[in-house]
Amino acid sequence: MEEKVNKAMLKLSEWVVRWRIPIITIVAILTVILGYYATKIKVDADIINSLPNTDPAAKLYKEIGKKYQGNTTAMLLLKTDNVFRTDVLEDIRDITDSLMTLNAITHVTSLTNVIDIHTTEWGMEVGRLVDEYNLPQTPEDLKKLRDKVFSKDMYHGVIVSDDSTITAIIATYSPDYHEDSISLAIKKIISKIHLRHHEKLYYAGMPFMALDSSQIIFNDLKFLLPITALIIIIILALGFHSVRGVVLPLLNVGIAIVWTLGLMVLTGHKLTMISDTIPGILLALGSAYTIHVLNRLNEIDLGDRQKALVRAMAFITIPVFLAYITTAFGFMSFIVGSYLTMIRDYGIFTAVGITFSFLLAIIFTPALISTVSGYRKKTAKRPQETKFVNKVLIPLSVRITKHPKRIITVWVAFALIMGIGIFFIKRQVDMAKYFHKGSPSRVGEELIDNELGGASPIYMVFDGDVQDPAFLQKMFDTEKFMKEHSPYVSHTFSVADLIAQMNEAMGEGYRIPNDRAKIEQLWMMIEGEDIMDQLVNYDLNEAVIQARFSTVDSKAYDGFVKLMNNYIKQNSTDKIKMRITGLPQIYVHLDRSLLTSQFSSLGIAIILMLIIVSLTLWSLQSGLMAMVPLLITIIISYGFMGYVGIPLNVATVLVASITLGVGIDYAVHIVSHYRAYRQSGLGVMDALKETIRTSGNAIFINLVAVAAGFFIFIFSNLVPLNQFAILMSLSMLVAGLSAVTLLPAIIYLVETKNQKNTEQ
Amino acid sequence: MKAKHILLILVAFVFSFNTKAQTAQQILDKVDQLTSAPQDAKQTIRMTLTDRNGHEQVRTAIIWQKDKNKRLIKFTSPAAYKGIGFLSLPNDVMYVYMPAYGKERRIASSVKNQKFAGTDLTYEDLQAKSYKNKYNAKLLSKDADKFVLELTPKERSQYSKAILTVNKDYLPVQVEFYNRGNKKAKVLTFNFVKSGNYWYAKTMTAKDLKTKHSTKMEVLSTKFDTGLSDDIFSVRFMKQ
Repeated sequence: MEEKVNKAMLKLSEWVVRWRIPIITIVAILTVILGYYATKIKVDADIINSLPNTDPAAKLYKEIGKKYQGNTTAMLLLKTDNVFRTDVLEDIRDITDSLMTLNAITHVTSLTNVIDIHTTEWGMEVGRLVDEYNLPQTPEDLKKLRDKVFSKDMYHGVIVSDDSTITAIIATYSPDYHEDSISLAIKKIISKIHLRHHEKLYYAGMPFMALDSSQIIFNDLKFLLPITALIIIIILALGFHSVRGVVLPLLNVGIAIVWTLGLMVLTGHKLTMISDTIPGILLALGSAYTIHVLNRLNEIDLGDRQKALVRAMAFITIPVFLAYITTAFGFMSFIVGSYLTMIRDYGIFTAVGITFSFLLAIIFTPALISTVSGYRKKTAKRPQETKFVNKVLIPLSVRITKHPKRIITVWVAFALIMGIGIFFIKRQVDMAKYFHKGSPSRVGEELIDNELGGASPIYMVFDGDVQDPAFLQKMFDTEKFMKEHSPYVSHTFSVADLIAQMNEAMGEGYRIPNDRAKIEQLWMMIEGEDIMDQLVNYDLNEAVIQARFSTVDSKAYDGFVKLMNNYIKQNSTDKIKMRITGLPQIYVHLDRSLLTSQFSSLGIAIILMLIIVSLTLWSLQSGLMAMVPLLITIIISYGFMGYVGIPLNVATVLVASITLGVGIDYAVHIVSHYRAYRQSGLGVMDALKETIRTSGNAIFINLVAVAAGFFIFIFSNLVPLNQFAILMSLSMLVAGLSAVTLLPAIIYLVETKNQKNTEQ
Repeated sequence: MKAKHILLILVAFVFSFNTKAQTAQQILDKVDQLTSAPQDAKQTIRMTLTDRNGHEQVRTAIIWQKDKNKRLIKFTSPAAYKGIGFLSLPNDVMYVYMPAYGKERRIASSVKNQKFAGTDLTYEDLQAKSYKNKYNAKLLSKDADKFVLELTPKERSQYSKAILTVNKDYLPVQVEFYNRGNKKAKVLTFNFVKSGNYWYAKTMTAKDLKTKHSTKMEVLSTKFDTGLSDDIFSVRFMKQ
């Protein structure tokens, strides 16, 4: 089988050889420049940033964060046998003090500094729950404090767990500082504190989760990338038995990685939990292009090696381009198909990286080979008939041509059974589940969810005249509604609560006074309190209910969002307008975006692939045939997700389109080889046998390399990447297997039918 | 003779060792004497509160003060706060009166680091205690027109230290308060003027460096030693 040499391609490769020195120089300069930027790559693990800035929920969330001095709250949890001990209180006080000294922290709320409005037999006390200058010492005083804490919803189950073993110190971040640097500063300052009672300390809340995932993302890059490289080196060494065969593909991909990361920095992008897989993926996928080029070069027996190179390049450029463009389109389907910036950016930069790998393979590789005269002197004998070919592929091809229907039936039945699993797929967007069980972030999060009313903030904004009794009454009622109607809201807080408490202290009961003058005068007692900045705006025409949500279950989020949206619709008036945002709202948006991202990127990928493949093979029928094994692969992978309980998340949502983009190459290989054999005069059956024998081997080697590249992420410390690793490896395996079994069977059936039709 | 010389030198030596400490304490004594000389005072004041965005709020009040530990503040404006009274009596007894409720309530003022009525002054700042009672002093520097003292609180305080600048007339010019993390947290600046025999702070500005909120207190009028009756420092008078 010999391809015709394309004249334009011949010219291109001659041009490359002629301009080899400038090409190498430009590549080197670009690598130095972009390499400089690449070292400055930063990580952004904040899930909220994966929604576009125009998203209403994310926008309101960020807006409230700015207005009410940071809605980014971190929680430090102290776990001990009993919180109500003087030494523990001293520790809480020390931690609170230390946190307060950080400029980047606007507020700290803890047992030792929380505001307390208390009614006593002789009057009221607006002050602190605990007098930090005079901490309770005696058992009676400590018991008194305990009783006080358990008498108010504001405290128990919020800053002290119901069993008195955990207490939370809540720190609000200033939006003027970088979140990770604040979290690091907290860890640093807290590490210096000697805990008197040896309490166990946990860091929880979104900022610490983001910090943890940032660190994991960096560590993953540091440890997993070399392992991936090593595996690729082994595969290359086994495949080529030459230094050049290892060095060149690796060099190209290395440059492509440096360029891609450098470009990310230059365009102001950061690494996310999914884009940290880009270097690994480029290693696995991008090296294939250079391998193709080298393979072809090895095959050409010409005395003049430079001529051989030009010829090889002329042959290989178009097939490599096709392999490249399908893969790139697979990734590009995320650009148009995804609402989430995280996924869109992933699509952009993987496609860019793949493009770099491709361009380097067809331009830089020949330039380099011709410069350093790195042609191989002796052509290695290609292992034409391996054990794998003899023992597996040849018997397989015989079986396929004998029982095509049976093979199709088996695949279809398998796909149907697996397909049922799709209905069991769960979606998951909450960050806590990204960490392995038992990791500090996850433990901290579970403690908060189970013992301290949850860490997912909710903000409900009321617009109107804040000091109007009707306005405060509406806030008061809304809080009650939230607590009564959602089992996951156990704690709410607003200025209405403070007013009601003071009204009670003035002797008129725990309610909103219906006299505006009373509200205005009570206001003086709390004005200037730190907490007020978080509750009302300066002009007193906006007030916020702060609440926390104590589960991270998608369904619960969804239910709550619907409940509140409905409530807002029914209760908003011209005078009192309401809006709500918070992690449940953000998560619901993420969740929906995940679904739409999945459907639209997959849809776009399927259409793009079909177009490219049909154009390549110049036949819609062939295009459709090539698509079948991939669709079956995707069904099987998704069914697998449902059966084993791998959820759809930011990483697994990528699997389908990547599978299409990478796996389609196998199908194209089979179909085009088959047609070439047919054109060279072989019958259907013989052409298929030859196709399976030759392509099967190539596909097998490629899929092992690619699957291995993906599988490395099983060692990541982020759960979604582990799941991504499993699914991608499985998908590649199934894609390869279906390409060499199912596709030939389909071809056989279609072709024999066509033949019969023409004979008739 | 010889022995006497030696003794003199020794005495001089010991004194030179102690002058700094003594001078700091002496300076503080003089400051206390000057700033708390009157027996009683009645002042009308204007408080201007400015937040980090430059928004201003103005409040006026009348303050009666007697014996360093009795104080009544009655707000006269804005309209919403008119008539609100705060009465502080010895032993941390404090009452608030709200005309809208028509009744007084006793409130705890034991929490010293709590801000007073939206200002940048805490109850600790407002405590009528003298500097000498609150702080140990160390002289950091002195030159022709000012002394700089480092004050460290005697009791547990919201501050780790304060740097007090005193002019040559022994009047405070500025106090910089440092929080427990030893970062400068709040700056008070004073402008003292003399009325009759007494010096008083005509204006005082408190700026919270973290929240960037500031409070300016101006004395609009003042009367000293008018022999204020104890009846003024009563709930009954506060409610009038």
